Amino acid sequence: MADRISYRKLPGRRRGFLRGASVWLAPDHLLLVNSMRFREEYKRYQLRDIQGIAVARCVRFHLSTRALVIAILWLLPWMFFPLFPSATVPLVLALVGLILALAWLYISIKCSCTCRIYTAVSRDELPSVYRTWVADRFLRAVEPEIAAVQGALESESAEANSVEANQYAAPQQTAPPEASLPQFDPEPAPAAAAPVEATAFYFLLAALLLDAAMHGLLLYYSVVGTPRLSNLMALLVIAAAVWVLVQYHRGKVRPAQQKLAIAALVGMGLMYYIRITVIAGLAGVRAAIEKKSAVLDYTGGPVSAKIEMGVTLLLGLVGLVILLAGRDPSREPPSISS
Amino acid sequence: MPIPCARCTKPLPDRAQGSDEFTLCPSCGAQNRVRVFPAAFRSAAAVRLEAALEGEAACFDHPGKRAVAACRQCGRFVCQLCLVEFGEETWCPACVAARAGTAAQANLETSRTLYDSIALTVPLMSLVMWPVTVITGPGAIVYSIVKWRAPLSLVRRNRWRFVIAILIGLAEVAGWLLLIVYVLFRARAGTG
Repeated sequence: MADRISYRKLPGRRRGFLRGASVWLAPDHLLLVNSMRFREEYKRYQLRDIQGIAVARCVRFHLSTRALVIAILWLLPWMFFPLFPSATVPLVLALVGLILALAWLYISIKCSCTCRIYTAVSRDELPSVYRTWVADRFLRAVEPEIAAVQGALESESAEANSVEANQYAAPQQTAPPEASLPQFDPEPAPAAAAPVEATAFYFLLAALLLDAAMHGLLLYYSVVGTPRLSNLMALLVIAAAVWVLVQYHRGKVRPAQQKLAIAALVGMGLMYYIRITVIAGLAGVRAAIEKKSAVLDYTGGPVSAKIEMGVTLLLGLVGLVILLAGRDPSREPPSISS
Repeated sequence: MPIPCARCTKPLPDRAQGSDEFTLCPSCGAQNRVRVFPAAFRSAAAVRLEAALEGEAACFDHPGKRAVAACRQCGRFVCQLCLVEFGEETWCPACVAARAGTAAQANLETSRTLYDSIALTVPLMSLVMWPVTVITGPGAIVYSIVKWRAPLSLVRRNRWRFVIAILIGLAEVAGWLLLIVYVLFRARAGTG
């Protein structure tokens, strides 16, 4: 029967590396789809049961698959670095990269939000609505549909309804205990307020910053066994990230920390494969031009070290932001004051 | 019902309800914009249990409560709390849980496996370790054909992933055939 329902997609889609989410509109309900690559989970909200929708501004550092595609497109020209006709090209590319990174940071900090849908028995987050402009479009699309089912809410009638509800609710207090309605208990305080076992995350943070510092030092000082040291640090970061993921599944680490661990793993993997591909590609081009056999040095040289230092430093700084932003919200100032 | 903050889920001040302006949450300081719908005010009155009077039909599971409907599948009387409505039909919780007869349609799916995504990903990912394609290439073709009629996602219903998976699988099989032919050709040329 469910296959016969026609769904219309509502604004917003979360495109994660492993998880995605979207909200769809049916004639009488909203369908929240959480997809995990090979599996989709569904949750339905009847339009007549939706009590409210709230959108709160907050900081969301989400790296979508679109952002990854843009990053790869930006990285591709660097493969032909030796063939660049002048120094202007890498400068322009670097400038474009900087602008893109700043735009992502600005959007993540200033234009992000979290959206929740409320019914009598649930208060679920809609992961697909995480940018403010998407939230505007989402509300514009959903409000008329809910109003068509429930009717419009006017301030006077709302007050009257509220009074009426209180009047109806009053006799229940005198009714016998078994007649009382099951009350919807407010959810416990968010995970941010709960004590968090953050050792794994501290370890990941330390490994990332240490890796960045090591790459920075190796740019200026030559050390015996540099490749081994570099590999050791990479292994340390990977081990820390895996530890964070394990702790997340045990419920001891927050989602933002888990995401940083995933980003670290993806980053390490990408850097490894991109470095090898670029080095092999460049060696091939050189060998073709000079008509000599290619000798490969997979360490990548100073350019690779700078990129790796930048990536790990960025991840480390994001980790610090997560650490500082994730403290008890009741004791912290708001993230956005605009 | 006061709508809670979307960030910390603690109640917002009343003036935030329905206001088009952003309202600061007193707990976490997040700026909230809230839309409230009539269901927020109706719920307290609508789901109200009434005690069954002498001679009135009572709920099967709650003998003290007045029945408001009968289950379409088993005919048992149900009170407002037990009533399961879906579309224009009503059932009791037991029939819905057991997926008995027509009550099965109220027991909605909560998840589905995306066979088309599996069929597409396996031959693509196996390219990273290409020798594995000797298994995954034909495997993707067979899997796509076997799962062709399996239910897809509730919201996207085209089968292009299966088609692409079959094409990639065919390309991998063709690649292996070419490799085998080339090796045989070289071997024959070497002996001749």
